[in-house]
Amino acid sequence: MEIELPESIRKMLKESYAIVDNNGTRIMKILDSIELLSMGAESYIFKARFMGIDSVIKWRFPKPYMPKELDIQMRRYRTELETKILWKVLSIGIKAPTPLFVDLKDCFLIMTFIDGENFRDIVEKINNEDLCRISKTIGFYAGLLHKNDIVHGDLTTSNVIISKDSAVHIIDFGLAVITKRIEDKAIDVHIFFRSIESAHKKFENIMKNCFINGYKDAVNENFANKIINTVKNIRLRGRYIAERKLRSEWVT
Amino acid sequence: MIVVGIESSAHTFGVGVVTDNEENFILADERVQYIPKHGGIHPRESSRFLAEKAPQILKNAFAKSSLNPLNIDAVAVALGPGLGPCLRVGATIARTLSAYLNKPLVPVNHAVAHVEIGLKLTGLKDPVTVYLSGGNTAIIAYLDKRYRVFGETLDIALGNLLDTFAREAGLGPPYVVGGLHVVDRCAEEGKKILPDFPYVVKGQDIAFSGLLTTALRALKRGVDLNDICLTLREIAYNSVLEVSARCLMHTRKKEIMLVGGVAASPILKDKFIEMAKMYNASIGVVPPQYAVDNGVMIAWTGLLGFKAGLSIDLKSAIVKQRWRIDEVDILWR
Repeated sequence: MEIELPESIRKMLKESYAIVDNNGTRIMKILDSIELLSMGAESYIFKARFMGIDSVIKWRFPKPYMPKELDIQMRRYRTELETKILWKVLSIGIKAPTPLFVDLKDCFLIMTFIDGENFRDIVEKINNEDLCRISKTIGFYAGLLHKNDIVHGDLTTSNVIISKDSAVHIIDFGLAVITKRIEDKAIDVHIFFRSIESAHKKFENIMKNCFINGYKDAVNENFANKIINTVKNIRLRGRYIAERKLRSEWVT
Repeated sequence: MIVVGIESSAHTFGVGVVTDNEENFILADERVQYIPKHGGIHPRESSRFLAEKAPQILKNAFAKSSLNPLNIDAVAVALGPGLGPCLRVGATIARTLSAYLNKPLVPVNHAVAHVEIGLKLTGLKDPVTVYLSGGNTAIIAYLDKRYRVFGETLDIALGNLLDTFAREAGLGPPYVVGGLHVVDRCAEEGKKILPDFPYVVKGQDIAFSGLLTTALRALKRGVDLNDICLTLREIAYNSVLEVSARCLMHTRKKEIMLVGGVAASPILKDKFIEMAKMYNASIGVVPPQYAVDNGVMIAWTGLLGFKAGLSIDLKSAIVKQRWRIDEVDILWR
């Protein structure tokens, strides 16, 4: 592997622990079978076995193009917040990775591995019924998060994993924040819609409608409508939106 | 095939003449830029300036290309997005030219033109396009016949942020000196990153207005200007880099292209080169001359559109100040 791991992970790879039971004593590695799974926008994702559990290591790597102090400050802050939010997310009944170990010096987080397929990769392959069911569950989870003042921050089809038992898991809370602002919550929905439009244009209607239905199941109607209106408003804020015309000089 | 392109969306009146020859496709590239004495671009003042200069620029373009105007195949014009009064200058001239010469008129979206001239000049095939200028901050990727906006600013553009701050801090205008933005220049002397400047990345979108307000407040409090410049620049640039990296991951494309006026910044370019290295992506930076507004990009995009059968009748050739890049069908891809 060409990536140079941070010191604390390298150390962990050398450490062992002992299990003592009726069968005697077994020496086990704390961390082994580490392999690179993917590279995200701000982190490397490794698969590994941590204390015998299939895990994912998310390491927020230093970015050479950023000033050091800003870089470390942001990496630490995000790693810490992500861990806290993951616990909260699990406690309100959303399927997400369980954090197992966190290191704020080198900014990595070890969490359980979810075996399954990325939603983004299977959108085109599955039937409409499954597509709707999954979109609806994502909508329901989004509603549940928002009800608990958690905003995912990067809710795209890439950040949903469908496990072997066809359960829907939400991953990557790396940009998640705790907030009461309606605006921030609406941006979650906006981002999800945008990811549909930019990668799954053909299934736009079914995915969006099922998402909204699921969302409405999780929150009260009044709140859901408020969110939907705010999403519309946010979209109008983009560049050069014709609907936002100020004078009637647009002739169609 | 020869196409004349007219650009007048903000501060530049440009006339470009291009052919579909592989080599030396640019036959003429004439332009003039409105530079305000103080403050930002006032649409009315800019449009008056453009209208005044337009005939000469047009004349120069035909002279440079030693072309008989009757031998052109089409007239292309940027109908939007941009400042209304300015766009109208170009549109009026293009309609006149088209009617007088009896040549088809091809509508061009200014943002699409930035992407297309970039593709032509960098040789990239299917990049993530980072479009940074005074009025635009967008991360764009091609999918299903359209350039889709993957992420964009939710309030002001990167160039707007830098220019406004420079203006308030008394650093400009002019905003770009010797190829370097005055904020970049001022940041060189900066020593530390100031705390509590907002870094706003919302998934794929960015917002700069909070950063601008915080910077202006710090300025009022008498915080060291160089430190403010450094902090402002690093946060602004890095949020763009982060969103670009995310788009690269999401679309799984292997190329990055920088276009637009702000993309000419050597500091931003270096950061992107570092970033591309990390992701094994190749990077293409549009040469500064064509990264800023120009007539050649309009002519080139018009040529692509015209070849794909696109033209518009004069009555419908009305400017669209608001015309998103993702509303345009890309007929030639």
